[in-house]
Amino acid sequence: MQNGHSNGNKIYWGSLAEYRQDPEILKKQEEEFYSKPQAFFEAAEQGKEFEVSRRDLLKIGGAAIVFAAAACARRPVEKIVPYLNAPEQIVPGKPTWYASTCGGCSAGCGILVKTREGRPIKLEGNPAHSLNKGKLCARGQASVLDLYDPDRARHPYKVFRSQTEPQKIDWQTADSEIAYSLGTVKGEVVLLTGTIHGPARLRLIREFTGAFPKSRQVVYDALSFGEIAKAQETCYGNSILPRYRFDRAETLVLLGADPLSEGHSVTEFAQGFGSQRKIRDKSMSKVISFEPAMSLSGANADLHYSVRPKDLFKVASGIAHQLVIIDGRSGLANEPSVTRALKDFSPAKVEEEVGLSHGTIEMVADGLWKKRGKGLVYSAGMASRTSAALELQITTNLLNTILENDGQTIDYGSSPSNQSSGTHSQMQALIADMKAGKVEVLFIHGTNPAYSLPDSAGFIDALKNVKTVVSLNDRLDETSVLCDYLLPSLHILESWGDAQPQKGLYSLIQPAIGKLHDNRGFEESILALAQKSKAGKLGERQISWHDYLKETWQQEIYQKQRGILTDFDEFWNSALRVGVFDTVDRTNEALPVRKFRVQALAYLRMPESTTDELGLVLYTPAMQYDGRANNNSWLMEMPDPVTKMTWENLALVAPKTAERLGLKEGQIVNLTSGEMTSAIPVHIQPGMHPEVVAVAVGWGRGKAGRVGDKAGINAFKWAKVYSDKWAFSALPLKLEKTEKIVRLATTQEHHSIHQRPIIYEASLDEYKEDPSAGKHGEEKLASMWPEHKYDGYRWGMGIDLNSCIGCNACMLACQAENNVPVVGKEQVIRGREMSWIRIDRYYSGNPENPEVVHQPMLCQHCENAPCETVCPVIATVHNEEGLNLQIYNRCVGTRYCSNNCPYKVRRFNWFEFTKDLASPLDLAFNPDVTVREKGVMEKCTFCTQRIRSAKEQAKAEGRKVKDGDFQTACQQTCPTDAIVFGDLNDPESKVSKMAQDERGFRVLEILNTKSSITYLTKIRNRPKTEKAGEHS
Amino acid sequence: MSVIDQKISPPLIDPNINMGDVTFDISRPTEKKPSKLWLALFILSVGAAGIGALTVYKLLEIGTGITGWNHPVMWAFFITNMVFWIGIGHAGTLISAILFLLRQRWRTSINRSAEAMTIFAVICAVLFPVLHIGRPWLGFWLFPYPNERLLWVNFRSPLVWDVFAFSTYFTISLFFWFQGLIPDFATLRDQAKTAIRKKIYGILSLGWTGSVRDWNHYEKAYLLFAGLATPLVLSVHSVVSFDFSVSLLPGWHSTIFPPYFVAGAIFSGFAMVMTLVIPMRKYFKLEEYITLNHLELMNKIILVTSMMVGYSYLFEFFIAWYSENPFERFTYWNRATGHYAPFFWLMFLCNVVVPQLFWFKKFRRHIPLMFVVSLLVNVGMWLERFVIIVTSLHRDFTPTAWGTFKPTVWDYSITLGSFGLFFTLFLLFAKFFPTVSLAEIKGVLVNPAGKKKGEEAHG
Repeated sequence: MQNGHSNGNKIYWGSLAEYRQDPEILKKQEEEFYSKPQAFFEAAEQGKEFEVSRRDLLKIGGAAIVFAAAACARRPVEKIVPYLNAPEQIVPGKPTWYASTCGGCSAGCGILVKTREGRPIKLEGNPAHSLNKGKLCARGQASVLDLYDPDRARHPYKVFRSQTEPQKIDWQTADSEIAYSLGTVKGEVVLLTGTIHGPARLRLIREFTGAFPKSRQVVYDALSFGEIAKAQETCYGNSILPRYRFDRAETLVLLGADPLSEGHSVTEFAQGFGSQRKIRDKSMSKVISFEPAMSLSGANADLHYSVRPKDLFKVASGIAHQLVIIDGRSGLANEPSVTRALKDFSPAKVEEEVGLSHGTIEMVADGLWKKRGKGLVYSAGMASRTSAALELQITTNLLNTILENDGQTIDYGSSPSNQSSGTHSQMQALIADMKAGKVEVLFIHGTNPAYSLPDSAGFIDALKNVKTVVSLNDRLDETSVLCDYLLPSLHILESWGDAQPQKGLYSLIQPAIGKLHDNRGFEESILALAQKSKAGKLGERQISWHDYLKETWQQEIYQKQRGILTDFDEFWNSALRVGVFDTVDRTNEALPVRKFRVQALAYLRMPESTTDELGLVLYTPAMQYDGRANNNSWLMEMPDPVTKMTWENLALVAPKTAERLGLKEGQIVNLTSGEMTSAIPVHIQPGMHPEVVAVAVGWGRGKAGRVGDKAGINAFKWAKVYSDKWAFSALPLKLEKTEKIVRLATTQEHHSIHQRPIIYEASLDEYKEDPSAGKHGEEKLASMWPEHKYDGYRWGMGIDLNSCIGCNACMLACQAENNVPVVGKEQVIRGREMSWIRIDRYYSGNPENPEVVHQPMLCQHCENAPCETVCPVIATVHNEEGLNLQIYNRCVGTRYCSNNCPYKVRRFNWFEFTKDLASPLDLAFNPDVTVREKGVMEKCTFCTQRIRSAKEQAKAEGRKVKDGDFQTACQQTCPTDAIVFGDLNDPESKVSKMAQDERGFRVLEILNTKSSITYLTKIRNRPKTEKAGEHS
Repeated sequence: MSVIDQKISPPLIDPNINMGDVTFDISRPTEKKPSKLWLALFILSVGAAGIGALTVYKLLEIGTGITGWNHPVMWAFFITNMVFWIGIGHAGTLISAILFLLRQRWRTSINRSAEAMTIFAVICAVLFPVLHIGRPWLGFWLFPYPNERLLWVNFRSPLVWDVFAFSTYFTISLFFWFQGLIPDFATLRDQAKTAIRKKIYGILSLGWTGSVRDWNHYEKAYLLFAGLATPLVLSVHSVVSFDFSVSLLPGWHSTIFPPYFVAGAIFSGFAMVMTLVIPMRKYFKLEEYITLNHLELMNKIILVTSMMVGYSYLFEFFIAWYSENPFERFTYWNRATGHYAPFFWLMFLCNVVVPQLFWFKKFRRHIPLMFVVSLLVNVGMWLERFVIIVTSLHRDFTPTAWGTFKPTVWDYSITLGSFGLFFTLFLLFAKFFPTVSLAEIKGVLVNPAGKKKGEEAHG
């Protein structure tokens, strides 16, 4: 059911009133333009003569000519119909903000939703929320587009388990049929969901399942960290997922883990990680990564070592051996079970077996010990999830206990995490029950097991033995098509709900827009079904989900506040407005080290050695994550931060391996592991272990929609099923070459700086001696042109290369803010991606194990802009505040400006990219930014619309714009605060200080472009005598 | 005047030819029905031009993305074609204007065709800057016309200089060429056998009577135009070269570009004149007017300009090395050894190596060979512009922005279309206009009033 009037394929609605089909608005619209023809048709229907006077004839004739002429116009005329009954709080042209929670993953970051005329157009982190503190990751930024996904289901379906086509069904029928099944159920009723942590949501689930015998909720996430909780229980007796304090870790050792891409709290981790990377008092954190491939976190490490996935356990044990047995540190040195477990892992032996240079283990152990209590060893990741994942976690826990990190950087009690509660064992138990026919009614919501489980897990087969299967996902995805019903749920921006990502930290989810389609929230469906089937206590109540939510908060959450607000409604409104309710005592956040149960070490054993030449490692892609949002074209076109590839996953191989096997970039190979063989192109990736082939999961969706289908292959199917777990790494592999070579959709073909003055870097020791270390060749060049005068503001930017982790959050924020189009795979292959800001990733050193640096590159807003002089029509000019402006309606598209730009940051509209945009995607545009037509050049504008808003606001208040009044979109979302923007004419502003920093330089300064962006040199915390890459 | 000259220097035209022969020989092709060969070539050219028109339609309908342009290679075939065609035009103007001022009488055989070639080449050239821009329907914004928004164009931009240069060049060349044609149109009018021919040539000849006063005006105007057109030979292509040299790209930003481009323009222009004139003289039986001596003289010019171009290539490489500028060094190293290296070396072969054959008189006077050489020179000169534009763009300052350009079928089709348009226009010219300047050839005859040679043939 589409509300609003149609213009060909597009659905427009002028107001919420129209959208809701308010009778007055409809009548007004009907009458406004079509009186006479309507009367004519009515008369014709009634068989009456319709009198047409000469005047009317002329009018109609004139109208006909006008319409004929208008049909020749290039664009249809669109009318703006003002509100008749304006909704409260909506002032056209002014945004309305709502606080809510992000649904990009289950981390539960707090967001502020910017809506314009009733439509969410941009998400920003909620500064008041302690989890993400105002920042939002790339996936979170992209999630606003999922609201407008044209392939969401728009009404309920009866599905027939893929025997025939699904059929539309109405809610009453669906509810009656399913309620009937529930009412007559004798077996188990199971709610299979992804991680849910909101107290009201969990209470509802509990009451629902409690209404049926033997019923439960099973949590299954495609990406889960079950081995962490299991290891926590084994080692310390509490089965929790800790809150990892990367912000307190001055030394970080990563073992096959990529917390910056795949962590259960990515934004929080990135913020913490970034804060420690900044140079303060001439010091910074030290990050060491051992991993089989090159992950995003590994790329940001000071020292990176390529090891086989099964050897990660050896490395951990070797470090423990060094600390306990050789150095005799920590009380555990006297425990015989500890020494027994570690005795076979002497550093020398481990180094030899694993392929590390002599002394590495000692160096790492030493560094960790020096920073004991202020370090963290973190090893949970897909690359480390071999069949021995639990063992690795246990050894990691041992290390963190020895190093006294437990309780300091590992919060196990104050506010542990609820962000990933799915476990393999739960799911396996469910599948067993399903197979045995014990499960009678199965509800599935927020998870896609038919896609993400390997076939040998048996889920799809087991479905056959379940009487009624209902999907409450948002579309006919891989799982939904195997069900009996699809009751499509809402997008989080349309929903009520709550979240408790970490114990004691609560936030609400509130809708920022009414339902776009005839869908129903998950909780609303549960309530409706409970009520219809009279299930238990819940079934007897006639309560809406919103009221239930409010009631739960009143009963359970309200008392937790320290008695400040005495009226619940005040509390509720405040919680909705602020977006977070934090009950965690954050003043003293350290806890004592827990006692380590040495019996846990009995689990440890030497991993089985393999004779395989190559092992398959599956890893989590930073952009696609578990593949849930693959119909999101922004994410699909976002380059993977390490490989810079888009639109498909690839088989990553080390340069040595490619040479040995004779593989070329883009060559299709047939990979076989377990039961599945897939053809996949090869990408030669520096920094990988030569015996490893890495493939990202989260691709190869079959039923995501028009964007996601057939992009890449589904590597989840290669996971190996064991009785009590699934393994994703160190999988057996056979590789067979084919002769076919394809072009890959990469956004960056070249990776070396070629010694150009683009990035400068130095080691920490060099920096300590001389803060301007690494910079060279800077000259103050004379200019023929008179300097620009900046009497008012002078906008500039600073970017700290130490802080930039290359996560792409800025790219996505810019895309959402500035209506940057998506071009598709074919055009990316041609080199036509449209990002206004990009992350250039440079390798240096040894190609087998290079050092990596990420550099955000955007329009430098040069004072001596090479683009400005050559535009023949003056479509690009310099303004009095230092911005280089691009005037879209003057641009004729000669493209000389881009030719003359040495940074190549200008993007050209080769086609009318928005021509075939499927509805309702057009609702996602930011109305403050022009949507460019074909033939026009575009580029970063330093968010000139935000500058203007801030100036207007300041003017209204009779003052100047202060530093921090507004932020550019990229700056606003950057989790590590790598980007700083502000007024260079204000000596107190952050950006002025950055411009004066001794580490500061401008890219390609020798060209005398006088860029407005100051970059700070990259400082690596590794010895200066060591040549990069020689440590592995 | 001409008789005295002919006594001192060797005769340009066979002394047995008189004025009547000239009129007869040169106007006859315009009076005959089109030969089968002409028709076949014409249909092919029109077909090629039609493919070009289809490309233009697609370009306007779908967008510039149908070509192979991308980030960073935003100019490729279209600008290559533009420079290629405008360069070719320079030979015609040089022959018409500069050789006139230098009193090189041998120019009279070829100047009409060469000048026609210039007009048609400039027409082809002018299309490309319009078509390659993103919004061609707004291309008129490049002209400084009075407007309500009080907007000027950016006079610092070489593209605006191009606008002035091209429009000046086209206007002057057109008027110059047309003015020279007036007496010839009058001749054709006077010989016209059908009413419609008389009418059309009558209009075109603007009432020429052949009186002394008319000739006086003609000579004065000719001299004036020659004087106006002469600096254009040097300035127009210098301005076109500024499109590149004013930018900061390594490989473009080079002070040698103006003389280098002008030399290259003359080089390719003469080669195109050769390509046109060698078949034309054979099929229209004009060998006695466009003699082997004329061809040899043109080959000498080709040799000289080839050496100037070769010098420029070598000097660019030398300066890149000598400058120690890493960007310059890389650009030239990449040009010779990188992705487009085969095109670079083919260009070098065609432009520098092959014309060296013309050191030898035997080769200078060998017609099939010089025809092949002229074709190769044009291939080489097209490649030169391609190499300059694409290799400099595809790998410039920021390595992460490097890319490669892969032409699509539409890049090829527009190029083919421009050749189609050019040859269509030239074939029409060859059919309906006198291809040799009747008036001027008569000025270099030894025995202008001698016995009619072909008297028996026509009555």
